[in-house]
Amino acid sequence: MIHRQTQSSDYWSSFALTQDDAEFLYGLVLEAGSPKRLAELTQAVMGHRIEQENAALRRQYTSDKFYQPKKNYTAGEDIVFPALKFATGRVAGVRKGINPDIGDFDVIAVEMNGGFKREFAANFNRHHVLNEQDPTTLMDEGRIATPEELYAQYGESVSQVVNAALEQNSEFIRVGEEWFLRAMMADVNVGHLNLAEAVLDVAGGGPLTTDVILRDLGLPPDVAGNVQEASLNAALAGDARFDEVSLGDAPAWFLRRLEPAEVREMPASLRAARFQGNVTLGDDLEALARELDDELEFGAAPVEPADHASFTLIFPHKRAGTLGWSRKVAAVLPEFSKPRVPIRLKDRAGNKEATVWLVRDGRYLWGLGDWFRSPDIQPGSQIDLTRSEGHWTIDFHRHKPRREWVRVATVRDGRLHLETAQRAVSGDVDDLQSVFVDDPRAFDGLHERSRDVAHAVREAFPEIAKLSPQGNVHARTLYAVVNVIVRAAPRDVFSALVASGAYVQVGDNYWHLGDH
Amino acid sequence: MKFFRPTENTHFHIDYTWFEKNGQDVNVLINKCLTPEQMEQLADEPLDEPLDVVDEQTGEVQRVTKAVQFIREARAGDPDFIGPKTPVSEAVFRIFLLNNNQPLSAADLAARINRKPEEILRQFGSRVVYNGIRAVSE
Repeated sequence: MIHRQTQSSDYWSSFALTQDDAEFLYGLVLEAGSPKRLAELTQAVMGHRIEQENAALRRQYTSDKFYQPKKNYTAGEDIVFPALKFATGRVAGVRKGINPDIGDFDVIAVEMNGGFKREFAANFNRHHVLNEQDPTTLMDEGRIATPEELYAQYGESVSQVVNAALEQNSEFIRVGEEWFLRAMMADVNVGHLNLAEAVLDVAGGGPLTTDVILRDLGLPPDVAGNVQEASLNAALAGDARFDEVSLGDAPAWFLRRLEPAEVREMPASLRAARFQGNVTLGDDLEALARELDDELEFGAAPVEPADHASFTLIFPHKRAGTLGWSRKVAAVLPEFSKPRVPIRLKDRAGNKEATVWLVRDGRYLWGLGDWFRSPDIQPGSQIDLTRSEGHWTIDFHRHKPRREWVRVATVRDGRLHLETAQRAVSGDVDDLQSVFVDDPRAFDGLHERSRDVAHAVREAFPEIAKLSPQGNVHARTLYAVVNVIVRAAPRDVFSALVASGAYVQVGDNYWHLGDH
Repeated sequence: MKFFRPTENTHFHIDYTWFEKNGQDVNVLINKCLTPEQMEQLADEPLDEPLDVVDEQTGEVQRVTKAVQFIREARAGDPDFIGPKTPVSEAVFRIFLLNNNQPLSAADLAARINRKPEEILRQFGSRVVYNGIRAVSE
């Protein structure tokens, strides 16, 4: 049986794009006259490799070696049997066939490569399926996997190799999610780009799709529309004034200087301080850190898509008008690889839509400031994010406004001060994590001080403890209150708590100030 | 030789060497597959005369007797050739005569003669060999 390398996983796991492959892809794009997606190119090059293998096999197994009953054979001749999974053998002898119904024919005894002997008809000039068929075509038929099937199995790793090779190849140019030939690009000059900036400026920054921007640019009409789009996309992508912000396949552009400042640069309240130390946390604190699902501890594990996420608002996001792009939130949001993308988010109760930016660097969603204010949604509130048919809806666990005794944070003498006071509450809050703040801006001063996480823990712990008759502090509350002072990840807060040595665990993630 | 217990997936075939080793003539068994009318029709024919039969798909040649060739041509489509009353050992032998002794599993054989695989295994799974039918790996 013929061993086809292209049918094995080893072949594709060691795949590298050769010069011949690159030339093949060049010809493919040239002939298409339009950019091609990486998946298309990968599948095409995999098909090309199979074709090459077929051609090599045809050369190796020249047609005169293929068994056909009509041929004459002599002892010592080597034969390939396409109908027997390309088994091979050598003619050991020839005798006359006996069958009056058939007439004259020969029978050849063949010593097969497996070591056993079989007999076949020869000089058999009657109808037989093998006499009518071009035996070389048998190599291309049968049970070999198609390029599509091979792509489904190995395409992900092969496409990474193709992508990396094309990045290094000066003849190809990436246009958004597609690849095109540099030589085929239309000339887009600075004047065109200035015009594009003006078009986006008039549109409030965007987003506008490439075809809309093109209408005002006047690129040479002899260049095909799709090539014009590809050329403009490449030019816009290479100019720092423009951001590609589409969620879908068709690029859409936004003028970077008109993007909200909080999208271009992470809001101050989200900039995290880190605990400098190496502490091993107990199982309880590790479990709590995972449960808190802070975007600062996103991790590398893949996220399973979900239609709904429910999570707790913390102060830094309330202050910045943002939500953390945590694992729970990521499960509901669309997947994309761009730095910034705006989406429309619907307020379930108000039935209003607003633009929210998903910002990859820092992992946050910006644009919720107004939503947090009306009604006043406080840190500790339970937020719901839902996806439905390409739309996203936000809400919180509402109830009728009522006055409740809650933990309230203020700034006194440049330090955090906590007290229990009555406030109007219009939704469910997590009792352990709630920290009501009347004037979020007042805490900017605390953020501006030079503080570290350990310092914030030392400041927060006694303030929380004094509100409890036993003086106990839950680690979840400590995380929420420390984040009023400084943005910090759960594991950093817990590490500072453990490393201090001043606190003792009293069970169930509650801590108490130690005797020493 | 160590005895192994065949399963539904075990493949069987006619082991022609078994007849030679046991001093039996397989042609007697083959000729029994012909009806009295057919025997009469072939009275003057040399039934044991060898013939080369060419496989329609592969070109491979199988040497069979004239009786086997006749059975394949005349009885392959005959519903009485393998009927519900045909003993299992006889029915399976006839299956292999028709399919050029291509090995078949107990499950395949059972499906072709409309019996349960256990019946096939009961018949051919013991040390006693019926009509030369044995597991391929034996």
